[in-house]
Amino acid sequence: MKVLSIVVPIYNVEKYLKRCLDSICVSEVLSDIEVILVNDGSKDNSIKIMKEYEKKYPNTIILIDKENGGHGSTINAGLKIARGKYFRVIDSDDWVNSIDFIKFVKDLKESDADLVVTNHTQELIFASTNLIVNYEELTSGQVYDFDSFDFSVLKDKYFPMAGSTYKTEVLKKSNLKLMEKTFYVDMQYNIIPIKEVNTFVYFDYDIYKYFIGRKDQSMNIDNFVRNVTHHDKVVKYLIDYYEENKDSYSDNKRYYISNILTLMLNTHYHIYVEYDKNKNTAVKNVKKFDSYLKEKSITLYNNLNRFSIIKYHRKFNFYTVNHLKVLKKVMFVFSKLLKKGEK
Amino acid sequence: MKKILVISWFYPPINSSEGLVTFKLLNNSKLNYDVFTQNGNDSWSYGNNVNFKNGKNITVYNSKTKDLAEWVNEAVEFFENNKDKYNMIMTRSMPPESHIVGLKIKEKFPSVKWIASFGDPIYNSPYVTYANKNVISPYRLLDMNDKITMRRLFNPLRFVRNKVWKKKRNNFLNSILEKDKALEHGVLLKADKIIYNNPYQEKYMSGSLKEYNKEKSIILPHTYDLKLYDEVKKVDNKKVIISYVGHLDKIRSPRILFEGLKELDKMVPDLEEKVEFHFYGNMDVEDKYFIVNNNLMDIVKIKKPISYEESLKVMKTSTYNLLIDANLSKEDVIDENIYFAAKLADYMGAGRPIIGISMLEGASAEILREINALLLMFSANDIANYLYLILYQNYNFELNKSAIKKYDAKEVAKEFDKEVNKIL
Repeated sequence: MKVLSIVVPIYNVEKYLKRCLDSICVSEVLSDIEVILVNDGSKDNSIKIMKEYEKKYPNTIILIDKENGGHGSTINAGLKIARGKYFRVIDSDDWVNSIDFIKFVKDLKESDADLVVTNHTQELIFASTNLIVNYEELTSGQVYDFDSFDFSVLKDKYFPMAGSTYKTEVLKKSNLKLMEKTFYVDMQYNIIPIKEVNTFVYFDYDIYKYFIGRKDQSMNIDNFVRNVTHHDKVVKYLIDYYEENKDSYSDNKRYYISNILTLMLNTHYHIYVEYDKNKNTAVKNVKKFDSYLKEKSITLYNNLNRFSIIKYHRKFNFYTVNHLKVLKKVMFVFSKLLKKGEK
Repeated sequence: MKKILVISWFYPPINSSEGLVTFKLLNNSKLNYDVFTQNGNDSWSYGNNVNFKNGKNITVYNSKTKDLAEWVNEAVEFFENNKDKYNMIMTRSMPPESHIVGLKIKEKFPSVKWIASFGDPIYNSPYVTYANKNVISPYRLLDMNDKITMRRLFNPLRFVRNKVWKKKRNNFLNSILEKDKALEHGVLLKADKIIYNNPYQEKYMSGSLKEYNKEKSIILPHTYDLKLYDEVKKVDNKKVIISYVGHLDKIRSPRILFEGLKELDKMVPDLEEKVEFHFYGNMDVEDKYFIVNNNLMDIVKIKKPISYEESLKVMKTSTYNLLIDANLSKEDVIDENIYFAAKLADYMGAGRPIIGISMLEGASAEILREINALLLMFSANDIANYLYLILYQNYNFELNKSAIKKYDAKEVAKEFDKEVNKIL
């Protein structure tokens, strides 16, 4: 049995794909992993590169060539055929640190935790810099009980797709089926399987290198605005999911999931009030969404008041969105004065 | 048969990339040339140590002056005195003064055909833009160095000083920009043909000039000339030798590579036994400090500057040749790299695998992908990982021999001759 199944969603990434596959296909781990390359209807030379690597590593690489269905559809397709003990996604424009990856695969052989957490680095290529997301609050190698772990120590950190490796059976048991033709479905991946996760382990390996800065990337600010309906769709789906299932969760899981959702909602408000340059539609949309949230989930609605900027916007019925700069300046001066007062 | 007068401030024996590009082109062309240049001013410290012989189709005329403005006048005079010998002129920048010669000749003799060949853009050079973006107002520096207080934050005097400084500086920069713009646009509009070394450069320089006639454009890439490479004995290096030949500075900086080496050095026990990086040419002092401060001296060796001939030998004996471009996307200066470094073509001629650290979009990246070189991103982690794969995992790659033929000087010169014959 393979230790790890890796799904690599592929769509028009001929410029990046080799880097991703070179970093994964290192000799020490080839017999322990299966790499499922899912071509999502690429129009460039990605398929040619996929075939080259399939030929080079026939016992490791599995190729799926399908019509375009979006990021979620590739993960769904990969998960369906995954045979490894563990499962993770590596996006084709990202790559792994091969040295840590080798150690990680060895450790996975011994692991029995439902979720394996590792560090990841946001690679801001256009600024020649990076940002490591690690979990120094956790002890490397220690297995934690999900229901008794005090998640408040992680503050606003959670386990994102880039840092999560699930047991394949956990994903299958959770009936994870990501939305198709929709961006931002990684949030579904971060939340839905949690109901089946009883234990997690943290390995202090800096494996995942998350490329940030491509213009067509969904995380690009302009694309956030352009794809706001996708974000809206995923957010609403997850609010419903949370409300329907929250009573069946343990307190810990409810806390963890509501925290991720609160952060996601904060991003959603940000798209309207900060990123969208058309402030008039932004105000209209954010007000509409705010009422929706209040009606659907008062817990999540109230959680958002912990972000002072949202709290102030709400206080002024989002009139302040049009005067965000002024609001920020006023808040900055207040915070300075407060700090001075504290001293 | 009439000749072409080539006007270029740099030409061998002066060891300048600009001159060498022209040298390779003319020596592989079947046409006849007189080259008006100079051999006294080496103020850009490129060295004067190349002994390549020109072909029989080339005669070189050296001006004695060391002053650019005087040289411009001498070049115009030289043409006037010998105008019957020539039916075409070709001007080559940098420096841009050779194009001023072209403009003056074209003004006096409108029927003379003129080819203007550009190394880099003159107007709105991304390099200059990048450098200017990194200059911080001395009045803003106060903010950064001192403790932020409310009084300082809302200090009207500081605010006004900063505004005045910015205005003065912008006025000064704009006046230079306007001058460069007038020159570059003048050349683009008045010359009969414009040579660019890659399509991204063409798009950048002529894209916004509405009156520009696209038919004028000739894309002639930089070249390698196999005749210039001596046979070298195969050196059996115990370590992998990765060589960089050429100029580095604060903008085209090897810092990200050194950061990658620092990362890899932390993860493997014996990096210094596996690899050596050899740098020939200028390097910014802060990058040198970085090498020392991070104990990379056993891995990174800074060598004395060498002649072009020597550099070709180095390229042939290295395990890998290294290209480092400036990350001009860093300050949002450009999204696509418009530069094709001439050394990349020389590396191709050496036939050794090439590692390039460059922007992901643009001229260099496209060429590196085309010739099956290894393109690394401006990421210490990407660099560290690929070096690990090369040094510890037997990762290897070879240049695509059929793809590099396009950059052979013989092929490019054929194209050039064809274009010249079209307009004569």
